Amino acid sequence: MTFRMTRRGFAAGAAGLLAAPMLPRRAEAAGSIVAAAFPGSWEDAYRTIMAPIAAEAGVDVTIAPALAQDQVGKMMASGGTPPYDALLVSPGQTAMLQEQGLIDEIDPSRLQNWDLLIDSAKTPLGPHVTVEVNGLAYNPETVPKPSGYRELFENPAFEGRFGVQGFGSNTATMAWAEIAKLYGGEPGDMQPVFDLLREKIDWIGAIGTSGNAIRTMYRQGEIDVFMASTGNVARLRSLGLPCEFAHPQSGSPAIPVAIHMTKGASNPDAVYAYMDAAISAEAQRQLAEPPSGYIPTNSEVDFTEIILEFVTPAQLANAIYPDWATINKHRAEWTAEFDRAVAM
Amino acid sequence: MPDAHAPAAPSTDLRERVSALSYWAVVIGLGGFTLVYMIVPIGIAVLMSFTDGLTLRFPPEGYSLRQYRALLDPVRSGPIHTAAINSIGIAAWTALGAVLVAAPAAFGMARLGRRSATALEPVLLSPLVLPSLVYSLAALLVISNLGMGPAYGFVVAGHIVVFAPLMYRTSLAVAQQIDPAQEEASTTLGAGRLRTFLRVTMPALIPGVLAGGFLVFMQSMDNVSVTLFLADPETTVLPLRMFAMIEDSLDPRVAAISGLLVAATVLVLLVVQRLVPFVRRR
Amino acid sequence: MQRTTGAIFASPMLAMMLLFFLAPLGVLAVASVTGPEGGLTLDNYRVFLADGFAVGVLVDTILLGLKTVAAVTLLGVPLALLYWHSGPRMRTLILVATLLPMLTSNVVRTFAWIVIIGRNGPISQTFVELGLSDRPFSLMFSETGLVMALTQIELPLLVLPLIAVLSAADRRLVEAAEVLGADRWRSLVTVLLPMMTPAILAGWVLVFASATTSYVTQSVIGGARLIYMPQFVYREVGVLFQWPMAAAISFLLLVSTGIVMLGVTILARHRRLAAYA
Repeated sequence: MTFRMTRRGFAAGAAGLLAAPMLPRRAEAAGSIVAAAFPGSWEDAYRTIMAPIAAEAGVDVTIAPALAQDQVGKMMASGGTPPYDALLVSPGQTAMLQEQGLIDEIDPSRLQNWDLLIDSAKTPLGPHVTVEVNGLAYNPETVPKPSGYRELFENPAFEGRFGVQGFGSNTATMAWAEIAKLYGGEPGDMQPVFDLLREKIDWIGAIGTSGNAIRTMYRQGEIDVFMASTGNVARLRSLGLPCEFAHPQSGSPAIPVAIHMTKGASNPDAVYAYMDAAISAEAQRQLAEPPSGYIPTNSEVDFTEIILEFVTPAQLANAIYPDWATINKHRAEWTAEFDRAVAM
Repeated sequence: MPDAHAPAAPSTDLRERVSALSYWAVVIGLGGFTLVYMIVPIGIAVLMSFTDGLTLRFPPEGYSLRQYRALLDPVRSGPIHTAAINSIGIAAWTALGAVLVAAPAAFGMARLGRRSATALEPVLLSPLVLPSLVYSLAALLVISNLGMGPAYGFVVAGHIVVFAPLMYRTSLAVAQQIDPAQEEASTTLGAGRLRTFLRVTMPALIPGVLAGGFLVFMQSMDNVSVTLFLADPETTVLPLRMFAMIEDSLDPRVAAISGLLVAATVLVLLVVQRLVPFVRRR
Repeated sequence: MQRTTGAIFASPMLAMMLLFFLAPLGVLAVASVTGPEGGLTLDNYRVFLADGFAVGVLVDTILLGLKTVAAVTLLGVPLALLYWHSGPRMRTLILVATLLPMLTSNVVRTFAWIVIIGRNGPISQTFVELGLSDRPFSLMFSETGLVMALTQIELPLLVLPLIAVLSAADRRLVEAAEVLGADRWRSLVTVLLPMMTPAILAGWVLVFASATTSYVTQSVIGGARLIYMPQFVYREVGVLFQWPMAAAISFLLLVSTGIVMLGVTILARHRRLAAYA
């Protein structure tokens, strides 16, 4: 939809430029929905693979790019009429959305592919479409392979060579939770991390405001190790940069990605069709290939070569799933304390 | 200044020479440095747009036009085109809206008494000095309290409010130079106020309006904070799209977009410079 | 007659600013003093102001604005003088160079600065080659680097009003002063500076407002260890969803920048100068 409009806009020339934004923002035709996807590779993949598959089922999907946290923000600011019909988020945001009453439970009997899902992907609020596995990304040309989080803070080879970010990022939050455990913290107790930060502040190479800022530092050669998902590593490699993924010895934190139906979605039937397409073997098989390489949740889809390069089914089975309810409860407090621990 | 430390009492001639030398050293040295300082980062951005690599790194691994070709490819860069069209649309509506409110206001304020003009002017200029981030938050609060959500119309409205003062400033500079006698003549000759405004005042205001329109358009194209808060999810705009591209993969097409924008800007500036004395007496 | 016409034409924009700009700010102010259960409360402000760290961030933000203003003035005024002494071609060059940073995307400008001040960037390399530093260094995540980047980005806001004033000024005025025997410096102080002062003050206000709120540059170049107010606001709104707190923080930012700007304006009035160029 968006793409066709673009072409039309170009063909129509200057007049089209002005007129394009005046076209109805939201197509009201039967079976059309607005679905959120993370900007960048997710958006590309969903636009090129998911949207056509959904179209076969008669659903016209407009992919709206937004980070998980921004989706929650827009939902909370929208005063009753949800800006999206379907959301794409991780458990941290799911808990928030549920608490605010912004998403509805689904009726699994409406999804033909539901029974094909692996058990952990079946949740009352919607199916998981993939699982992201986290660990450490490193540059094999400049630093040794890190054995785990703890080594970063103790092996001089990594002094000044790794970058971290704060609790605004899911990847970092999960890593900090692991680090807290390694340094003797109970679940929900982040104090060991803040003590470590205060003690080792000059040991850390870069402290960025987001995972993206840290990855920019990596690309420019300012740092050589960072907290990452396998997807981050695959992306950097596809751009021709040297980058390897290391599973921490203490276990790799994993985080599922789910599709939810918003409360008051304009067209629930179409949302179900879209969800069904997202968990279909056809879609997941394509999404498991490069460049996306998403780990499938449909049991009929095998791990592809690109996935196996980073994660084996055994490693996935041993992955650590953090407790997001606890994290959400403390997130504000941890964010504030992180600022204080790292501020100059 | 080899003689500056000479023990003899400095003659006035010497002092003058030292003074002149130091003056020119500051003006040419520091002024020239500033000129370079402003241009170099833009030069770097443009240089990077010719990279042959898949990600932005400096120095580029090789040079080619592939980023520009990729940028024009409707399949790979479709979302960028959509965002660009949205941004151009928003900027065009904003410029138009700004002309409609700010040009008459500039004309009107130039005719008001000095005292009331001084009192009212801060109201008109306030968006220039108040952070647009704070304003966007406030606008979003109001919108959501009214039971509405972010929407395209609100983005345009927000941009008009935030950028109309730029138009006001450039138009005012011109409006103050219009001779009221000319207008009075027109009115006495039986033309209505509105007709006088359209026939006599508007044409005279055009240089200021063009300069203002240009500034408003470009600022609107680059705005992030208002759009971030007020845009509905489907309205992706160029600066946010570029931000996402930078964040996701340091996509070199971003540099190519900038290259195009810089080229277009320089071109427009040179044309405008020919047509309109860009900065005039305020 | 004149005045009525003026009032009629000015009223739509005045109404727009009152309704769509100042009124929402009023709503924001109300939101910032509304408790979670409704009702009036100053808790949000109390929490913020009782927190030494948060107050420190506010102070740092204002200092960042002032440092940028100082750097911009130091570089911008000589450039304006160069413009004043130049012929038409050079003047056009300066004008284009001044407008360009304003008109290139903030995102790209910021990235260019990452390159310039990074470990492998030209500044670090030059210092190493000249023997001023024994190893490569990065100005990323330092206030120096941040002020350098902000200065380039905000320079046009000061230089443009200056150019406007100078291009309209009468060159003979200064030449007359020179004939009377005033040297360059004296004619700068007695003739040029008084003429430029209103524009400089107007520029200060714009530069300060812009530097204190430039979220993208602050967060990308400054990183997580340098925290400024906009980052607080974004986080409260976008990560923690604490709107009333965000409103309170915004308002504190607004009030404190307002005080600084009021100071500049009063200074301008005091010198019997209009507040804007």
